[in-house]
Amino acid sequence: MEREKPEQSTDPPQQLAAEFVGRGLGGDLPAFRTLVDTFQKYAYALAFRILGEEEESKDAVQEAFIRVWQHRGKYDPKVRFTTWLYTIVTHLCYDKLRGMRRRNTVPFGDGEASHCGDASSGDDAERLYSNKEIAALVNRLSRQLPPKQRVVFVLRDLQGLSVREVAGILRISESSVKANLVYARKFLRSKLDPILM
Amino acid sequence: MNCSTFRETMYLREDEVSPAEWTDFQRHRITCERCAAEYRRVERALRFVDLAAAEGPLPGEPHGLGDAVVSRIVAERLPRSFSAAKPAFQALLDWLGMGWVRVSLATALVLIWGSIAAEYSSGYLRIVTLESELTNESAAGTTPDIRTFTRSDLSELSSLLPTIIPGKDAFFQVSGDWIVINKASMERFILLYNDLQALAPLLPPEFRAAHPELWKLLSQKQKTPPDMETLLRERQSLIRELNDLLPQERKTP
Repeated sequence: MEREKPEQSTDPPQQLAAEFVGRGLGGDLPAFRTLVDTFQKYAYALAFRILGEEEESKDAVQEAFIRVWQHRGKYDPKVRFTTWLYTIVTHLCYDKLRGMRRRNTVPFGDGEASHCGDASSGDDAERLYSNKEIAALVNRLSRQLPPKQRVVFVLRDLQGLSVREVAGILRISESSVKANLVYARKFLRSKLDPILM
Repeated sequence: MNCSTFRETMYLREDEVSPAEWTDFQRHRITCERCAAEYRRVERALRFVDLAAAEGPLPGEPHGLGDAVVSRIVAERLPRSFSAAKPAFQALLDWLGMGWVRVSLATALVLIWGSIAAEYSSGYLRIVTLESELTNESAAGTTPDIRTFTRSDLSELSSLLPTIIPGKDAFFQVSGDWIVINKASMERFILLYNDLQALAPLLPPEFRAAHPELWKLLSQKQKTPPDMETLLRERQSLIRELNDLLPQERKTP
């Protein structure tokens, strides 16, 4: 059950970006603007998957790029720019998520997957629902996870980062990443079972 | 591997466990039909997750994020002493948005900057009301924004000036009877200078073509942007030094 790395948004055009990373992080504002234009969709995809709200996600991404600019002197070129960017975005989103939880404003899912109908098997379910519907369902269910499980699940299962990368971004052990993954996947499986049985 | 361990491990993918664990896991799956059935359900769920991952998040790309980020950077490039004005400046930029309105703003700033630069280059500052402002501010007990020193003060201090204000001609004017240290003008000058340098990259190509001279002025740095905090610190230090040298009755509170 080795997973395939998602083809979408996790592999920005590194070669194109490399030039602008160097110039943009060197303080060249037009080059930094190009950097933002190049990477914003990747940062936004991550933020939206974690937060589930467009406006909150845009705020987080905007704040992330401001921090990139402010701390550009601390960037280590040996680290992939996306890893650094994802680290900043993730921590901002995690803080926002915890704040939203405290205020009870987290956009929860509707709790059950039952609205997806009563397909008779997992394969039928995959045929019955478009990938967009499946993505919406999984995203909605993941929003019911506690903040840390949700962030780990998004980074690993939806963004396709390795366990080691996730541990590095969140500054936790790989064992902790795996434990959170197990809890998150158990929960999702329990919610998906009704339509996959 | 027993059933209990299997049912924990089955939520991890192959590349998340060691090869030995994976071998044990597969061995147990083959021998235990109940665990194998459970694992098939987990596999289906994870396949669903993989389909969701491949689909990507639902909303489209954010629009205008680059503009918003650059606007905030421009606003935050302002000296820290203007921090109270940041929200208003940010709101102004947000309200103006991009395009010709911003170009118009930039043009207006260029003209204002030009007039201030001309004022400085003439070597004089307007000092008509400085003394009365100082008097009023001192009477009101507020910290004066402007300090002036008279000819008699100047004569006492003249021998010390070269060591006190070397290279500060641009902002500390010695004009006939007066040394004028004008904080407001200095800040305004620096504010506009920084704004213009920061806004230059945002100007569209049409603007550059239509206003080559202005573009040249903006894109070629005329001088190193002044460091606001250093200048303010130097100004405070200079005022203190000058003040200390004055007779007691002339000292500014």
